[in-house]
Amino acid sequence: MILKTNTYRFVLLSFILGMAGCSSTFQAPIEDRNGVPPRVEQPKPVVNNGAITIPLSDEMVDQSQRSEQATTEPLSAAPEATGMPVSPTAIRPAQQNTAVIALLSEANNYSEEGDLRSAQSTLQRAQRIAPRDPEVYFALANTHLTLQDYSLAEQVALKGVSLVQGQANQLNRFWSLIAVIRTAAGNTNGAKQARDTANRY
Amino acid sequence: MATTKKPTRSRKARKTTPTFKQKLLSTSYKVFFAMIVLFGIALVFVDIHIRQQFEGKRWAVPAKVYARPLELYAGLSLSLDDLKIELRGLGYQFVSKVSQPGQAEFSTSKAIIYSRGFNFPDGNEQAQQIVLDFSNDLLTNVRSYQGNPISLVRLEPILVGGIYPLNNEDRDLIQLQDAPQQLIDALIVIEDRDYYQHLGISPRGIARAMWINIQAGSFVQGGSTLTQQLIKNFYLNSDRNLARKLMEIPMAMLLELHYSKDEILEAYLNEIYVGQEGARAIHGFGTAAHYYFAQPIQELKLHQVALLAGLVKGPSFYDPRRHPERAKARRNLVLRALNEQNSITDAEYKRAITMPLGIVERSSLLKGAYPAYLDLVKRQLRETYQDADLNSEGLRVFTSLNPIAQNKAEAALVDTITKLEKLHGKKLKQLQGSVVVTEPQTGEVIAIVGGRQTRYQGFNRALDAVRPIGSLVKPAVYLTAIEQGYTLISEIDDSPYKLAMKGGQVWNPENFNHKSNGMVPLHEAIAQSYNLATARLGMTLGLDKVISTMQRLGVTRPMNAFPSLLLGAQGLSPMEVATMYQTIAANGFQMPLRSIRMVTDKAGQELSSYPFQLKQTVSSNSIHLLQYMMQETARIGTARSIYQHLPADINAAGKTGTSDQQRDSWFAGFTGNRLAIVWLGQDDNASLPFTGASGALQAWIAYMASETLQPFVAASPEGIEYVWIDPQSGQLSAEYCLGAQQMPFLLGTGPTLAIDCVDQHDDNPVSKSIDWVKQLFR
Repeated sequence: MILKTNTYRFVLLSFILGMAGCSSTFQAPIEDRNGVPPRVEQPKPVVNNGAITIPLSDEMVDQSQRSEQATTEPLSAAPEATGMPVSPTAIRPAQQNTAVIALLSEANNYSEEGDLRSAQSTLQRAQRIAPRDPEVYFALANTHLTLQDYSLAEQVALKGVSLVQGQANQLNRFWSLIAVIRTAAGNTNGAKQARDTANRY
Repeated sequence: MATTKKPTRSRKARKTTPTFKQKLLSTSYKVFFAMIVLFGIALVFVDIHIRQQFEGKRWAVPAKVYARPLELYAGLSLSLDDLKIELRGLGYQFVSKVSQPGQAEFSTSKAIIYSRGFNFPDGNEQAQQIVLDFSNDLLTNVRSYQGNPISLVRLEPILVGGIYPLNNEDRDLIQLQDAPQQLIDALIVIEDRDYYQHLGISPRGIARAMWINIQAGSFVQGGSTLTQQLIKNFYLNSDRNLARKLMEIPMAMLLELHYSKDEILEAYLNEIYVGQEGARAIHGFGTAAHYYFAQPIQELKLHQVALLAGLVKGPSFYDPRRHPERAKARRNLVLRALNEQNSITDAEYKRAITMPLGIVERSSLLKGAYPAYLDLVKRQLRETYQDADLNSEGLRVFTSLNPIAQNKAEAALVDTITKLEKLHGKKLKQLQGSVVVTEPQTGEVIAIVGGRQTRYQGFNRALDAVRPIGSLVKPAVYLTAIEQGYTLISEIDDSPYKLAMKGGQVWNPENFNHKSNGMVPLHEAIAQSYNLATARLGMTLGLDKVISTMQRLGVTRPMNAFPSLLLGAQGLSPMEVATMYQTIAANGFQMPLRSIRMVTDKAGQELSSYPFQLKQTVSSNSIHLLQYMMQETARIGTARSIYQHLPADINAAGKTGTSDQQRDSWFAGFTGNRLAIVWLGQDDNASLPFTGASGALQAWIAYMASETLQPFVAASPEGIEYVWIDPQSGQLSAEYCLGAQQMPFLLGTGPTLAIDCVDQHDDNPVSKSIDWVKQLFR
């Protein structure tokens, strides 16, 4: 019995020493990722300084950041629209690029399928090609509206307004969209103002 | 008693006498048994370890950072030369007739590209032949080789960097089928001829090596099989000793037991060490192909793969950049061996040995070429990701870096610095500078230069040099004035100004030329950058109001409410200045400056996106008035040298800046498609022999002149009206009047008193000089 125990101890000790020896010998030049728990469910996107991120693992984003994000104030409402009608200097509507037309149509398909993320990234691709094309902002504002991100939807639509100065039809269209966005956001007064502005064109 | 004790004793004695031998035997037995168990356990442990590592294929793959892909479509502003910059960055071979991906051919107004294709997160771009027609700096037509029009196609993005782990291993994983067969043949013929026959070790190889070692009296040769080399690279450190050698053997055999030859070979191709660039260790043939030839491995030719195979024996000894002769001899040795084995024909052999090494200059490699931009990307990434994820997960980071703009910004800065040093000689000890370029509508950062040594990964002045901004602060002062009811023609006082401060000090600002200009209209005070008028105006408006305006323009740094802030004593980095001017260029919409578009995992699955975000913080009307004044600055103010070099219709807007005692030279300005901030100065804060206009502005102009520019279009918002005024008196005038100038006003704030005017004649020189204003806003 004693012998057996001793042998057992010896083997155990050797094993431990061996393990220690092994672990120093077999230094893999690699980070062992086996400790990372498998992803059980799709992690929730995290918003950080404007970036939308799906964490690699739950430990990745620390909690302090999250609580900060939770308290991040929403973007404030747009400044009031100036009230008086003018004869504004018109921007000639630029001829739409065929590449942009193709991307807008692709984005529209994504939106109809409910894939708003793809729609957004396609629209941003269009925006880089034609950063002054109001149609890009109109579609982008609509995706934010569908995602119920009302403040960003409104800002994007206002950006569109700044690109269609002097084009009555377009101004009507954009201000009408802003009215819809503000209504959805529960900003009744703002919606009425936007509706009135739209009606002037 | 005795009888009972006796047998006990005798039993003891019986036991004691023979047991010594027995004990020894038994101990030996125990030790032997333990060793077997231990060895067995160790083997099992090693086996588990090997399998875990191998099957997980957990190489630490650094995050790859890509530039923006070049989008090609009819109507794109792009010159043939710009396209060549992009294609060189991608390692395309310029040939007379394209025949495979990664090649391009050019004529005077046409280019044919055989693209490589790329798996973008939002879809696959196929490798294809694209025909491009150019007219001046415009891409007029994009079609397929068969002549079908293509509405939009993306080239693959340039790999501009990686984010390496602490051991600085760079690795670009390939699959076995990606590797040219000739590379595999060459490796086997030169490193391990029995590869497909042996069981992990080659007794013949070991015997040969031992013989050589005995002869040499030391351990000089390995005789390792590819499997053993893999084990060595994969699991063991690189010390050459017998223990390691002994460990290699069972490990190699275990590996062979579990995995096929092809699996082991693929691991070998990705693991083996083949070069060193500074601290960065080049691992695997995928990385090596880019590092030595700037080409993907699939495109390598026989003479190139032979060189790579030859390098394995001693990447430093045979370094083709440092020892080209040695490398060539080694390559030819590999080729000869291939020929002897009949892997290649005599003709192939003869052709290949006459080829030059074909190694690209280190400087032409774009990986690591833009450290300042990469620095910004890393900082933005670290807000979301941990280092371990960045340097081992093989993440793919898609940035908005535009290599064409980056190259031009670097060239403009370096050329201007060189010229200034020549001009001023000894007064400049070590002139430095930095540039930030953004796309004004989207807020994407497209280029960053962190210093005159553009490839030096050191102090990033664009992000970290916080220097007094001088008159770059003035747009914030004048914007505040407009918001408080001033018009462009409001008279302000530029007479000498003194301010008694706490503690008996007196603030005594001066104009640049030490003269005062009396009463001046608001727009002239900013266009000519008058300090006295600005100081007095700012104090009237209130320092807190000016600071608040700067914050709405996007400055987040805490600012001291000292009067000197009004003349730019506040320090900001070029990047912060870019944020501030971005809001002005984007019509009052503040937006975060973005360098990253998307981060995906190695399979292309989106992890982070950085959507377009914006927030209007200044009304369109106020911004419009400010933009007008900044355009005037460029037309007839301190930045008027712009139009000696740029086309008249470009409508650039900007502001010069010179800090106290001329320590900093700044220019911040934008056109329709480019916002650029330039800073020049010396790291020791010494004074400069030039101003913002004669220094930084010149670099800005050089950059803009090299770009394909679009005019800045200042759309007049509905709250603005343009009125003809007489600039002298500030009174209402008319289009036909001599010297009349059209200026924007908030509705109802224009002058009401009309002046009697003189009818002008068409060729009046005075009227000509202000024609630009008349034509601007029609």
